[in-house]
Amino acid sequence: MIPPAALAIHLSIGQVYAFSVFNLPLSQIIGVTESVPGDWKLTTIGWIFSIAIVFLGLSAAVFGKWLERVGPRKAMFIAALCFSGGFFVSSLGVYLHQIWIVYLGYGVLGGIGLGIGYISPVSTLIKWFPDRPGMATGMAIMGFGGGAMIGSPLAVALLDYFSTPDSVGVSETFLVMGAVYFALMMFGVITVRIPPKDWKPEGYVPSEKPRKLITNNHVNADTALKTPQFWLLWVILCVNVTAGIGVLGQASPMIQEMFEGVITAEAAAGFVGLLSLFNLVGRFFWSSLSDKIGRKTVYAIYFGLGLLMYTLIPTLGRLDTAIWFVIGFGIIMSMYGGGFSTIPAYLRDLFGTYQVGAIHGRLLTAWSTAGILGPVLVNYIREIQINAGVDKAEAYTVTMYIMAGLLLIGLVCNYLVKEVDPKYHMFKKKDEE
Amino acid sequence: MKDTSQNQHEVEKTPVIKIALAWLFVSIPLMWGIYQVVLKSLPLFTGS
Repeated sequence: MIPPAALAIHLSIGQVYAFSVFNLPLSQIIGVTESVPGDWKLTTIGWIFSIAIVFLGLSAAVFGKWLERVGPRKAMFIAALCFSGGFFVSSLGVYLHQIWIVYLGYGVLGGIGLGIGYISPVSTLIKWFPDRPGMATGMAIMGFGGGAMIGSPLAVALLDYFSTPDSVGVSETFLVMGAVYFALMMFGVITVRIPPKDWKPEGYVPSEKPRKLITNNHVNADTALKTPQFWLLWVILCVNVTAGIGVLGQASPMIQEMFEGVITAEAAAGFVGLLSLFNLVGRFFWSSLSDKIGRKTVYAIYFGLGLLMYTLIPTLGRLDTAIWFVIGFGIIMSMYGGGFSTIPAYLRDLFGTYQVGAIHGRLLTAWSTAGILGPVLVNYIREIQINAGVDKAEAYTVTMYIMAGLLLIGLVCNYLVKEVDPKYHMFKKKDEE
Repeated sequence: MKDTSQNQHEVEKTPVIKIALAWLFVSIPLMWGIYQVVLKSLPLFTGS
């Protein structure tokens, strides 16, 4: 029952990736069919998502230790209240046409719900599945990837239903979505359980002999911050997400400009959808594989193969057919998703299970950083290129090489990851309290 | 809101039907989402 509970939470909060569906309607609240003076600008609306992602990272970092203390059920309940509350407050903000209320609602309140919701099932899953922590967390975090797939068509359907000649229907859509996600998250709240002390799955015998890079000891969240391993994983997550987010945001114009006359805007939208499917499958596939071949090896594949793929993309973009380009990007996106879902198990291997949820929460500040760094880096480099007279399709080449460079940094950091120095370990008896 | 109720006891076996229903509950929206994505991505392969 625990994986469906975790999946319910992540499928809900993963809606954040589909927030861009609201960009256009939010920019036409007064004009309804077109933006008129007084309507919010797209740049103003863009801040809603950015604030939510920043608060995701901050709340995951701040509330991680609290979550370890109160348990997943209470944390999931608070996450459900915050996330759905964010929709309700934003609905009021849209109704009153006050952007600061929407920032406060979906951005701050919703963002806190995202952060707490994201980390709430992770440590519980690792404890329920000590034999397959990668698969278990991969299943939940896969839900976050799938959240956009549900959130986007659901929002489109609701907007269609509620829109009238006088209203774009966003306020009503927010109300319904808040209620729907609250119900889905409450399913997770009701069904989640923490395992009994010393719980082991049937037939599972934990290895007495310490395996390379998998500790039987524990490091608490505050001490983890003092270890080089935490910061190496922070950089690993940051560069992996920066590279992925950077190109994900550009995927639609990129394929249209690289295959001008071949790929229509509609087909490009299909391409973006397909990438999210690769992202979803990658989250489960790669993290499950990491249980067999080890976390370090999997991350070496992400960065090694990713580096190769990013370098190949400009060449694939010059072929007559887009199929290889689509496959190449699909592999990149699967590893982008895998980077998210394998990190909790990597943390468990290095720091033990004691406060793995709290450590994971603190590591997610790397995601917030990447959320700003990725798009800025890609847009900035592209603008410089185009201003220098480089062809639009060719301007992506440099971007791809820079992303490959980022992955090289990740590859080096991953190589440097070693066992945590025993001086950071907690005493066994204290751990088990 | 206590989630430690089972902590002191042995884990009770959850009936298979309950597990199946729980998976069904979360799988339906996920499958609907995947179906929508596949539908949307068809023009990429049909060239329309």
